Amino acid sequence: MKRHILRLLPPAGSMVLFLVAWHLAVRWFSVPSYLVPSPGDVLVASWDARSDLVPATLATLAGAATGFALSLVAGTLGAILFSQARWIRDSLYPWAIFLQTVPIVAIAPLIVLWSGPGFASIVLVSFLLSVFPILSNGVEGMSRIDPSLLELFRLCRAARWQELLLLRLPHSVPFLVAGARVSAGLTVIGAIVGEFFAGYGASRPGLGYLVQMSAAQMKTELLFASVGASTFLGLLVFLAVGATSSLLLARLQTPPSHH
Amino acid sequence: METQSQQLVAVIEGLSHSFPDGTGTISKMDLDLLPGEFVSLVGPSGCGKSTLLRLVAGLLEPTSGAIRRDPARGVGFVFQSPVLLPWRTVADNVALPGEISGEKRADRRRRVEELLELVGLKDQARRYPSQLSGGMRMRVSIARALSGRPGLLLMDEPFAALDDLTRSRLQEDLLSLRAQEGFTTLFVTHNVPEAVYLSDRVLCLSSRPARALSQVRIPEPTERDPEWRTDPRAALLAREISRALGGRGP
Ligand SMILES: Nc1ncnc2c1ncn2[C@@H]1O[C@H](COP(=O)(O)OP(=O)(O)OP(=O)(O)O)[C@@H](O)[C@H]1O
Ligand SMILES: [Mg+2]
Repeated sequence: MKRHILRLLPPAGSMVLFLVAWHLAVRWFSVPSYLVPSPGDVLVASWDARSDLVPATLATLAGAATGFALSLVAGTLGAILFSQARWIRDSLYPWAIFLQTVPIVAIAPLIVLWSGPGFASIVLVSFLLSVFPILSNGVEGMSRIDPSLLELFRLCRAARWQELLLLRLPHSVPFLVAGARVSAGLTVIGAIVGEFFAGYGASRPGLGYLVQMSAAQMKTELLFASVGASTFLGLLVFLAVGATSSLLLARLQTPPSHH
Repeated sequence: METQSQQLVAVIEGLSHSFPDGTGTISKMDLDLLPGEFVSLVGPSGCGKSTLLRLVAGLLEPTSGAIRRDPARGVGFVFQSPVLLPWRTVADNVALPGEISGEKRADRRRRVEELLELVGLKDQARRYPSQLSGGMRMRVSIARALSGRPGLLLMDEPFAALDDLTRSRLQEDLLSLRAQEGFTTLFVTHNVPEAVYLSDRVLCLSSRPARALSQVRIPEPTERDPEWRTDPRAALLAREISRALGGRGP
């Protein structure tokens, strides 16, 4: 516990220093608050806008969480599919790489065009942005297996499904988890980008929509507050997935008696 | 003739093998394995010993010649490294082959218990491979190979990575396992004294592609004990094997 607190000290310290420097710089140079509000102004604006910010954060979280769940399922299923035959992998992997390289901002309007503004589009953008790390890590985990282990299964005359269930799938769990950690961060970004394009159609406006509106209306404090909430949300999701994955790995890899 | 070959555990006849890229590994090999026999293969590194084991196991196909195995007897394979599943306990690793072949759960559990007792790992059943020493892991690997009661055990330098003390212990344990389970063993090693200690026959192989250079019989003593390690006759046999391999003797 003490070690945990000690490890939290440096980031917390740098954070406080940064806020103080920000506050002093705004005062010192008398920056107008429509350009850079002071941290205090942002805090006040956040409090005033809490009835907008909290539901917006929850709405974005819902989009991101749904996108993440989809990525987990589709990424794992895709990795299983790819591991089944070389020709499947060769013919489909380029499409997966296309997903990775195409700028999401460029195809987001297309997605909105096809599936309409609203939750579905937001989830889709979030999914498209976050599925690749899980898929590619999963493919690696299913295929980068000690050849002797594969020979062992062949010697036991294991059926293909047995090889999948008893060897490839458990072997790829740490890989999938590592992919999920990366994907967790992307999923929030994806939801916010999705809201930029499709947020106006959602029943509840999310953070992306709030960022867009406050920027258009020159409400800089609210803009800062929304950006702050987005960052906070991203951090929260990242930490939650990180903690869950550590727990999962601890259970699967190292024995329970160890701790 | 027919009846005799039926008694053999495996018959290798005029076996040759080369990889698709043209690397010749085995050249016109003949070898009969009698029930209960312990045969060692020694030869220079890269000559094709592992390839020969894979051929016998059926993991590779001969280029020419034939390998006939008694179909009633299964094969167990012990790799150079333990090759365990890190997410499974010791007991579950040993149970894996039975699980794959669909053996009944109760039978499986009984067999695992019996094997862990035999290899001296009864207390470690619920631990994970990462919690074991190198020697213990190799014992798990051997127990797993024996789980299907194979008639033929193929071992590819199983003790090469172990320290001398552990290696000697495992050699002795392997001999007592063989006495209890009665399997035939085809054993690859680089270690001539090890071959002399364990084997009934030692087959000396040439460099790649592997050919049988000579065969050294080690008829005595029938019961091996640690004294045989330092017996002058063992030293003479070791020298004979080293000579056959082209060395000056140990
Ligand atoms: N898949 C492969 N394709 C082509 N050549 C191979 C392949 N696998 C092994 N070889 C070659 O075949 C030869 C025999 O390999 P093998 O592993 O059987 O040797 P070995 O006698 O077991 O050697 P060591 O004592 O070092 O384990 C080596 O020269 C190796 O480079
Ligand atoms: Mg080898």
